[in-house]
Amino acid sequence: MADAPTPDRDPREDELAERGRHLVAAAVADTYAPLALRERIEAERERARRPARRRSFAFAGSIAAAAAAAIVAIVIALNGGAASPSVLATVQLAGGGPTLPAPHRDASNPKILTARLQGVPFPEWGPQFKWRAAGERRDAIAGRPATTVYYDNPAGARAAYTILGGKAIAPPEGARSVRFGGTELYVMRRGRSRIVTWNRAGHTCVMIAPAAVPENKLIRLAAWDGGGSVPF
Amino acid sequence: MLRATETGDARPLDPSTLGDHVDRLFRAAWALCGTREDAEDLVQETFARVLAKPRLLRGDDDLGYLLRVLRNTFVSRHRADQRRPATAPMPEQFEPADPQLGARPDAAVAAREVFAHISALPDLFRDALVAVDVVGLSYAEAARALGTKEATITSRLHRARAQVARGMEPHRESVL
Repeated sequence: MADAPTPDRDPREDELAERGRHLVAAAVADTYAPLALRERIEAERERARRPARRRSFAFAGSIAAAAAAAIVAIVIALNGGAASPSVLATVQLAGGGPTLPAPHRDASNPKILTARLQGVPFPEWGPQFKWRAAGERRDAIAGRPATTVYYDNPAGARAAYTILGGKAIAPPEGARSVRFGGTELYVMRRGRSRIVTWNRAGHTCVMIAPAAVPENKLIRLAAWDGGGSVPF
Repeated sequence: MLRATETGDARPLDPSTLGDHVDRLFRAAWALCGTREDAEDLVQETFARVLAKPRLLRGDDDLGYLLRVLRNTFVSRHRADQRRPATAPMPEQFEPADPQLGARPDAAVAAREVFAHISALPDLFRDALVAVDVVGLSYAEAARALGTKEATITSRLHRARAQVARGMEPHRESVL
């Protein structure tokens, strides 16, 4: 937008102002609202559309408590609805760290890794997202197999991606539903971690990463299908 | 606080059109707050406020109205924050790459610095720059939204732009 001329301007100030205008324009042109924010706003709009119950902004204040409750819900769900000593093992599943070497890229399909559970392969995020497989572990939770692949990004963040064997379990209560690229995901935050769950080929997937990793990044990773090469 | 628009017939704000303004409001919020994380929270809170009850607008300036709500929400939050004990911010160096800017890390760094400089401007200068250069309002719309004269907007904008450029100068020299 052109400026109206104003009297008594210092030429040096004019030059600086023009440079400032260009700097701001460049910053603005490179900046878009992240996907996570759009989803949050869409959720606000959904809430506003519901006439029955009055929304409460106290929700925002109690998000941490809700997230904590949600992870407990995940764990209980993973155990068939019964709290048991294995709950702790489930909570600590991803936190236990890798026990096996990192899986390799699949020779026949560069968009997936050699690691898989009940026919569902883990995605190869290295070329696309710079998140590289760093290790693997295999566990059993309430009689179901669970395989976890750990991915590291260049900033030093680690995400643990678990595929749970058997039928998909219900999403945890309190998690927020997000739809991206045709995939429905549930996201929540628990302390310093961010958790995403979604289904692939009838199995539940759970990813845990530091909260410093933006939600939209995790959603993109989780929903990435490699142009159809990663089965969902 | 900013003034409400005072001309034109009242009409309800259509919530379905709010999504059209998310990018602009996010940029404005970033310029006000100085960080992306705070900007996201501010925009969400702004939309929550707007959606909390039916809104009647005068005139067709949805964006100007939303900017006013955003600005007022920001001021309210700022006052509330001043009453709370300070907490340590998250280390900047652990900010993972933004997928939208990953291919142009230099642009991402520059944008972050520009928004930080805008947020540090004196309030009146910052508000003028946010309204015109960041949100894209005309001088007349900005003047209406900020409750001042167009000539005042012009003057404040000029000074704000110069201050941003001056603030970015050390960065430009250091990378050359």
